[in-house]
Amino acid sequence: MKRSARFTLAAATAAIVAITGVSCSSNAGSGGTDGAVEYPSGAIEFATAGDPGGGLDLFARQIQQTLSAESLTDAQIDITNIGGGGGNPTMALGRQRAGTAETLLGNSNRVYLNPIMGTTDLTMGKDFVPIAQLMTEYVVLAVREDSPFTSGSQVMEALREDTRALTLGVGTVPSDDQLHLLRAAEAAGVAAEDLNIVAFSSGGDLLTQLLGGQVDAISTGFSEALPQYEAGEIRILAISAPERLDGPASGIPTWIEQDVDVVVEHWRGVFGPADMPATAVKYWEDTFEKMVATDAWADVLERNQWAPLFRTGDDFGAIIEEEAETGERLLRSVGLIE
Amino acid sequence: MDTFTLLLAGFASALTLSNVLAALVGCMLGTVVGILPGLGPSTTVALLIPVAFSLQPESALIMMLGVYLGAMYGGSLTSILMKVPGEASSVMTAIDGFEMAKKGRAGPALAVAAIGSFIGGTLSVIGLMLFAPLIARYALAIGPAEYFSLMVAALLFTSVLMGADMIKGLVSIAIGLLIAVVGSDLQTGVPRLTFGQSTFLEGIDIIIVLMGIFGVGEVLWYLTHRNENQRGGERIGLKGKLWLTRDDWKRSWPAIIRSSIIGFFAGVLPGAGSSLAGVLGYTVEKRRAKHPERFGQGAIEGVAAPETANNAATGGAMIPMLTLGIPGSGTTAVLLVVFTIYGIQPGPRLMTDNAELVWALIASLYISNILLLLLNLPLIPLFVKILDVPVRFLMPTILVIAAVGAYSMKNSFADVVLLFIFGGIGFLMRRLGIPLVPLILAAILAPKMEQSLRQATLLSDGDWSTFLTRPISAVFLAAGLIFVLADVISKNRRRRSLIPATAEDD
Repeated sequence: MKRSARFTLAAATAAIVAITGVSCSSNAGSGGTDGAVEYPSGAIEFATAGDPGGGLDLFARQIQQTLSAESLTDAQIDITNIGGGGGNPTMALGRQRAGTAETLLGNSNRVYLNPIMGTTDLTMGKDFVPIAQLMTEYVVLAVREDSPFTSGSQVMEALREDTRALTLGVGTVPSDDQLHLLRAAEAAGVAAEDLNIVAFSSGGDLLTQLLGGQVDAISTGFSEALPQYEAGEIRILAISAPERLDGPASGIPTWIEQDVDVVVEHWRGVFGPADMPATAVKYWEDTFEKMVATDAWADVLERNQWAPLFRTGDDFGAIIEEEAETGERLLRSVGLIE
Repeated sequence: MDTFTLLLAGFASALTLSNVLAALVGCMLGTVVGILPGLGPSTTVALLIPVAFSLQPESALIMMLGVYLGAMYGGSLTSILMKVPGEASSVMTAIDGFEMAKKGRAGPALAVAAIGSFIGGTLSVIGLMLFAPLIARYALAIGPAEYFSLMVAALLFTSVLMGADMIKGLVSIAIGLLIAVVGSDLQTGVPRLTFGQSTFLEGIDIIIVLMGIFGVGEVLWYLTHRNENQRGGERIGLKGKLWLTRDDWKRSWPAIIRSSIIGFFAGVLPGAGSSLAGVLGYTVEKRRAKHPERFGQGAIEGVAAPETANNAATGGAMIPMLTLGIPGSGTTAVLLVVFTIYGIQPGPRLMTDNAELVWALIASLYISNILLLLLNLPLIPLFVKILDVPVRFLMPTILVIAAVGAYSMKNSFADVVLLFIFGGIGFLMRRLGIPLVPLILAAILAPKMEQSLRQATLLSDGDWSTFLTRPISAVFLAAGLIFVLADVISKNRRRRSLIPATAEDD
């Protein structure tokens, strides 16, 4: 008992250090790579577009932990949380630090949604470069356990007959929650622009609305729906994965199985500043490639209900451009952009 | 096993040395965090996540709950001593708390805040223990329509905070609403009033508004009214006892009991929980008071009520988390993440599958509340020493604390600029005799209210009768209406005019 008490004290000290440290993590490094010194020579600042405790923060911290636990890099990785601004201030670092190699930026599909919505002029290629897509979550369509609907195709059928037959809840707009519904509807021949989609600010609130019977169905990340699904409170009718998953999602049919040809990846990835030196980009591509192959990363994925997904550089960039195109078309059709 | 046996077992595991230490560390950290504006409990709990990896799940969660409770205690400190509310939930405390401090009664103000927090916190844990499953089911019936009607009723109720001049009150509300609509619209993602600045995309943080209007505004006010004081060497200082007088007790007790109940139920509501609790607690006391004009001039009930209510809200907020696995506030959302890190599945089965852990946590809430009382009361003589600092040094300190707090929220300098802009607005409003409290209320309540309205009408496909046809919603609206009528009638009868309210009237 004495030992664990001492442990608590040590942990507390660490906590205080962590807390005081967070607000003063400084801008790491300067300048490009020096040919003489092997990259990375110093600290790397990993800026993440989210507040502590949020999805992107967790993403960055899991990467930091896995890299250090598996000794995959000599660089010391410092995480900076740049909350707010829809993630734009994070990507702005890409422009400010063009040509440098000591900054990594963690973000999600907002890198293309924000330019589409016109809230930023920061764009991929010009202001930041893709390094690697490291994992994804899949989005699900869920109803209450007493709902008459038992499959995703039934829902689509009902919507084909009357697009207002169901009220649909999502977290925010625009988001993968919303695009998931729009894309599935489109693939199933439903007039996507007429759907009654209501946003409820957070995944937790969304589930409350579903359980309370305020909305008929919701579109949300699998991990958020999991607790209620396992408790038998909700039924998950479809998941946006390309093929049937293992683990707790193994009982959930994909859209493709239900003849609705749609896959939505709610991915998270790492970017670098504009004109990041090729050696640095290569270094991180390789390091991340090693990381995603480790058991430790497999544990991280399992613990957080994330699914494996790995693409680097150009492949990653191509996917983003493809998604941006689809997203822009759909958002235009529902009138969110002109 | 019945509740009592489960609770005893919970105490048995929460009372180990390492768990009590964890609670102590959490409470101390939480108090510090509550004092520092900007660094909120949810951020702190999140920053503790890496630490949690090296602790037993039980100890880590106990520590985090300690932070959550501690922050609620700590928030009162800067509110009372400097008029800088560290959290949205302690805004109302700043109004009468700072007035009490100016009158040399910072000691009783802090003491009643600590005692009220303790009682509110403890009663709400009892409520959590006894009624959690029952309340959780009812809470689900509160949809957007009900939420909107509840907010309407709350607003009608709080109209007492408007002050004497109706027009000026409305101007204040209008400014508050204007602040509330800045940011991306939830339903369409379209930026509103952002002027192309990314800073505004997620809206203006309410803490910035509060610290600016109250804290910075107060400093500017002092600067321009300095000549009325003596040469700037004066200090606020202390008069009378540090402890509560008999009269203080008599006034505070009923307020504390009532606010415990109000706070508990407000905490159950998703989204607005603890800040709404503070507002309601304060308003109810002002409504009930024989001399409501004392409020805003340093009424001790005005400190006891909101501080009790925001602590009582913590127990309420944990109900949806523990019984349904659904977070009711930012902090509980982060706590849920921690549960999953340990492989504990939060959700409807948490209380049966992990009964031992849940009851240890509930027991730790009792322990943390006691620890916080023991930590806070003896420190009051130390804290109030701040007021011995000459005012010309104290005022710049307030500016520094507010500025650091604003910056540290998002590491954003733009927020510091905003802080001072709101300071200027607060100063001008005082100058023009426009009450500040309606603005604050509007800024706190409006975002949730607007969204509830939009969600409710979207869900009803544009049919506004949804607010009347849904029974719970209709009850809330009726309650608001009856309340206004009763108020008008009783006013006519007693010929009591609307009392000029609040600290803004100098």
